[in-house]
Amino acid sequence: MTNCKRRQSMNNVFWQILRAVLLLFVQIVVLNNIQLFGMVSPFLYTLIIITLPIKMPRNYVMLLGCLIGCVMDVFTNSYGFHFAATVLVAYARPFLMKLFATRENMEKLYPSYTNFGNAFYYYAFAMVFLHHFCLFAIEAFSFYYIGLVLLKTLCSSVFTLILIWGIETLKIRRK
Amino acid sequence: MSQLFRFLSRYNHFILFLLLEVIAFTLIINRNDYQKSVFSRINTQVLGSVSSVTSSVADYFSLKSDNAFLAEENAALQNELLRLKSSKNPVSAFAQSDSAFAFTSAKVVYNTVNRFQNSLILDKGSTDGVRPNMGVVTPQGVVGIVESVSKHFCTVISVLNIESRISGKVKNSNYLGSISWDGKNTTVVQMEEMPRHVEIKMGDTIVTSGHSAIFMEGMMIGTVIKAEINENDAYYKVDVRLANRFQALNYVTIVSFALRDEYDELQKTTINE
Repeated sequence: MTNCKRRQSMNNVFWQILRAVLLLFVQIVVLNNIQLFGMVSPFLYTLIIITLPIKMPRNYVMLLGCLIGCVMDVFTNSYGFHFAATVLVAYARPFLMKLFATRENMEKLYPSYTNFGNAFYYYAFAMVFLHHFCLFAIEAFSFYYIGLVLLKTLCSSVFTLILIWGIETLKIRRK
Repeated sequence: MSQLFRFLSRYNHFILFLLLEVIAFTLIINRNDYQKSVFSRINTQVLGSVSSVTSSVADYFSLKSDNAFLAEENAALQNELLRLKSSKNPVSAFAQSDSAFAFTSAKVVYNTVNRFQNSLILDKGSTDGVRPNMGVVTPQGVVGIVESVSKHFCTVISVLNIESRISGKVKNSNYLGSISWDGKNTTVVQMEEMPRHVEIKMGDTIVTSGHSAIFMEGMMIGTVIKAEINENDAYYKVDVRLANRFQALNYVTIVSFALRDEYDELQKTTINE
């Protein structure tokens, strides 16, 4: 590995951390207060897990998911909701990625629109849907509300995906 | 061991995942009031139904010991009952002084009903204080009389034995008769020596007389199902349906008479003279 490349990857790690902190900040300060029609409550911080490097070891992803989930739990005054949901998507990440991305896509460094094309949005939506469903299901904690949970999951996931689409578009524009 | 490590390293993602989720759900269930209440409700339901199933299965395994225990308890309670009865009624003849009787529960280990001379074997013997000529009963009624005793077992001459003679009487009228069996029907015995002047009819209850000092007075034998008398006969022909189901005997009670020796001694001297 050349010096230049290492610096680049160090740079990337730095940017990743900064982005993660920024996303968490936005989530906690702004998005946590959004409750549209009692149905839509986006959790954009899932994007941190979604866009982690493709080759990152799965255990690290899960531990990072655990850390992020804990931070979210602390700031939403819940115990274990985000923890469980984030660890779940961290574990499911490789499956979902393989489901939508081509082999060629998997050679890239990060999942993103520029790297994956439309497959990125499918993959992102699957991740977001799984995460939101897990979160709302734990919140309801009963099969009685399964219909409401699914509706809420769908609405919130779509909203979160719109936010992700916005961010991806901004990234492309900046370039 | 290396297999185990290979397994662990192969599934390390999944194991870590499970570990983290377990931690998460432990947190969820323990620290959130609503989730805690739902979980405890479901938990109680599941535990309740599971344990009711397991206990209903386990009950079958303990059925044997439970039965034995209940039989023992039954004997003890009967002892107690008799003691109380006799303490209430101190003036009574020795054969009727019920405190003279003691009860031992026993299990039937062998039983025949399809011969002329039917007998039973019980799992109590001389070490348990069983001796010949003790009565054997169940709460339903009379079973027979102990014939011979070994260390841990005893044989019982069943009522369904053509040699067997038991002193019985019609309840309420106190007329005595002798109960024997004609070897035909295993649910019906005959009552002999019932004189012509006695009023006896179908449905009358036949109980032990207590005169032989084998059974205490008033133990159920059966009910009259037929009472016939010909014009020139001196005695009734009485058929008695046994209260006990001899095919299904399982636990019985041995009745021992504490003053047996004294009684026998007296009887012997009377006969000798």
